[in-house]
Amino acid sequence: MEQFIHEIQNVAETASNILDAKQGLILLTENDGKCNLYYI
Amino acid sequence: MNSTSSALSVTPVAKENHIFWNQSVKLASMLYHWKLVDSYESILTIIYIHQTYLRQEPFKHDNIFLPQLEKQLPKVDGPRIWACFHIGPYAIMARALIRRGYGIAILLKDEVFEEQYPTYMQQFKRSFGRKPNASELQFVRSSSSKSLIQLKQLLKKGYHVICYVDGEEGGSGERGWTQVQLYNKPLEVRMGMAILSQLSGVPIRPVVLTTEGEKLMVRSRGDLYVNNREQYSAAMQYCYQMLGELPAEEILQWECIPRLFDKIARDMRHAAEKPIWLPVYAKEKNMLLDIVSGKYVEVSAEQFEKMDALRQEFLKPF
Repeated sequence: MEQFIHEIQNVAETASNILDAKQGLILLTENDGKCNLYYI
Repeated sequence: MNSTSSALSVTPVAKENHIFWNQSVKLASMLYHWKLVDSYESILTIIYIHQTYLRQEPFKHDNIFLPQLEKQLPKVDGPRIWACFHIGPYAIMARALIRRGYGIAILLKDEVFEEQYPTYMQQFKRSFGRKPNASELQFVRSSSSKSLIQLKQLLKKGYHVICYVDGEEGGSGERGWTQVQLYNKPLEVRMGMAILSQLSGVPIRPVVLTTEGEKLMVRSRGDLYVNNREQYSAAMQYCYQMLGELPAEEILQWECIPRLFDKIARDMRHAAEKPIWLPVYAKEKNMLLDIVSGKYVEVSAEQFEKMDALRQEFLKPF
C-alpha cells in the first residue's frame, strides 16, 4: 500500500495540467466499460 | 484538451476490473464527503474491502444468509410497508417474508421487471417446489401512475409491501421527492412510501441488511405511521437514519453510492484540504482524480502503467 500511495503522490505532484477551471463528472457505462468524462 | 500519450489497452477481464475500481473510487469520494474516511490509508483500506465485496460470488445467499434473516426479522401482526435499501443481500427479503407465510407485493421499476420477475419466480420455486399463486406474490410497476393506489389495495387485502426506498423511479418531475440528512449532508430521496403509509394507514418498517463474512446483520426500527403530509420528510428520515449509523465498512455495501457520486459530485468541493489522488480508468485518457476537490489531472502512459502495476499488486490477493 505504501509504495502505491507514494507513487500516486509523486505523479500528482509532477503533473502540470490540472484541470483548474472545471470539475469533471465521471459517468461509467457498465455495458461497454467506457468511462465518459463530462465537464460541468 | 489533449492526452499526453495513449491510454492502457485492455482485455475484457481488465475492463471489468477497471469498472470495479472506478466504482470504488466513487465510493471513496462519497465516504470522504461524509467524513467517514480522511487519509490515503483509511481510503485504500476501505477500497480493498469494497473490492473484496464486489468480487464475491453472487447468489450464494440461500443457505448462508436466508436462515439468519428468518431468525432475526422482527415478527409483526398484520401487513407492513417494508422500507428496504439496496445494501447487503437485500434480495432475500422477499423470500424471508414469503417463508413466514406472508403474501407480498413488490414494487419494481420497469427496467428491472423483465430481468427480475423470472428471478423472483425461480427463487420461489426453489424454496417451495412450485410456482407462486396470486395470493402469495404480486408485482407492481413503479412507472404506473396508479402504482400507489395498486399498493394501497394490496395492503388492504393483507399483502405486505416490499419497496426499495433508495430507488429513483415513479412519479415525474419534482414531485415525490423530499430531503433527508445522511451523515450530516443533505440527500434528495423518494417519499412514495410515506405517502402510501398515509393513504393506507399501514405503518412503515425500515430494514437494513449488511454482512460481515458469513454473518448477517439485520437492523430494523419499530413501526412508523404517517398521518399527514407534513410527516413525509420525517418518515423518510426515520428510514435513512439506520443507514447513517453504519460505519464505513458496512455502508460500502450500499449499491447506490456510485450513483450518488454522479449526482452530487459538483457539490463535493473541499478545495482547501490536502488533495487525495486516485487513478481512474477513462476511455483514451490516463487520469488521476483528487477526491477532495474533484479536480482531474492527466498523466503520461508510462506513469499510469506504473501506478496500474502497483494497484494490481495492492489488490493481488484477488
